[in-house]
Amino acid sequence: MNSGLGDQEGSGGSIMVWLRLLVGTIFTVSGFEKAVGTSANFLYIIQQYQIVPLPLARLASEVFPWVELLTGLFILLGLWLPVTLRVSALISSSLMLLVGQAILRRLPIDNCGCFGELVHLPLGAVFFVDLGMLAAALACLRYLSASGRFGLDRLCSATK
Amino acid sequence: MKINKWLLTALVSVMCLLAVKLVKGTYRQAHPQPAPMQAGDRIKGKPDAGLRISEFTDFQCPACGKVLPVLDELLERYAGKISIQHKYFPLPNHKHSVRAASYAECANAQGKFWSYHDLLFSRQPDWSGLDDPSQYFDDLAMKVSLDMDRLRACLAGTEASGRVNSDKLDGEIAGVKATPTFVVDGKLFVGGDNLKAELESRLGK
Repeated sequence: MNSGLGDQEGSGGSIMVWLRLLVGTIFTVSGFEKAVGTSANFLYIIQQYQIVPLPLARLASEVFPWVELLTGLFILLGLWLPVTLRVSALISSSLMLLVGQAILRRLPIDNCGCFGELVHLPLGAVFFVDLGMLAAALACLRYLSASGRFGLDRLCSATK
Repeated sequence: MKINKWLLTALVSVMCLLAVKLVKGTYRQAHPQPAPMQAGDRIKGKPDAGLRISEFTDFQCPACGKVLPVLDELLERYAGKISIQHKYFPLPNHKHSVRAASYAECANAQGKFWSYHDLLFSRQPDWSGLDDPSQYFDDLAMKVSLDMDRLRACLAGTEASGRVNSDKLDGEIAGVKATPTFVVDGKLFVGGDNLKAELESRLGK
């Protein structure tokens, strides 16, 4: 993974570190906000998208906040980066599909539920936020050696 | 020193779990208790029914209007077994909700709460988009034959708005964030489908 960014440990490299920290922070904050909130509220938000049956929505309302939180935290710390960045890209693309179908079906959703109770965004804006998150995660993956600087992955491999 | 990546992973995960538990247990602890009964409570079904459901609702919320037929169906199906206590929960993003709730509480003071409540919901699309729906609310009050002088005195006073605020506080303590939210025996359920599923599992289909 070393092309296009010139000196990956230089100023271009630090941009990638900041991008990784941004992706990690957004996932961590939104996952944490959902995890500390009441799952009944998040369950209702999932149901508003009208795409999964009740048992699956219940499971998602319990599991998804933790997946989001741990993915974000690991990206922030630079731990298991190749895996967690892929997971974040998968989450962002899935959310884009979910939001996209809601926009096309004109579902009456006034709170996307993406950031728990912290920020309320209209669906159109959420789609572009997710697109940005996907692009950032893919860029971090593309320039992994630069985005992984100061991360625990590097610390672990350096001490082996 | 060799750092074990798996050990680090476990450590981070456990710390994360503890942080969530700590925040959830202290700052974000919800206490979904049945709201205490007061004089002038708005209740559908037998007040002494075995299971009391508190419904936190907002007159400007479309989903709250859509859930009404579901509630009527449940009250009919579980007649004598459940009662539904209405609680005001005006959401901050609905600019006329507090005003609508105050009108409804003033209608309650004249014993016409449910007819005014039903009118507010059935006409919601007509008044929701108005800049100032006061005249529209007055017209609805005349439709249900409210004493307009008493209504105006009530709206000018603090009792109705105090009741709305007190209900909202009950909801916030219970952990309500969205409407319609139902509190059943200490558990929160958001939306009619989830309430229906809970009642079916408790009381049978």
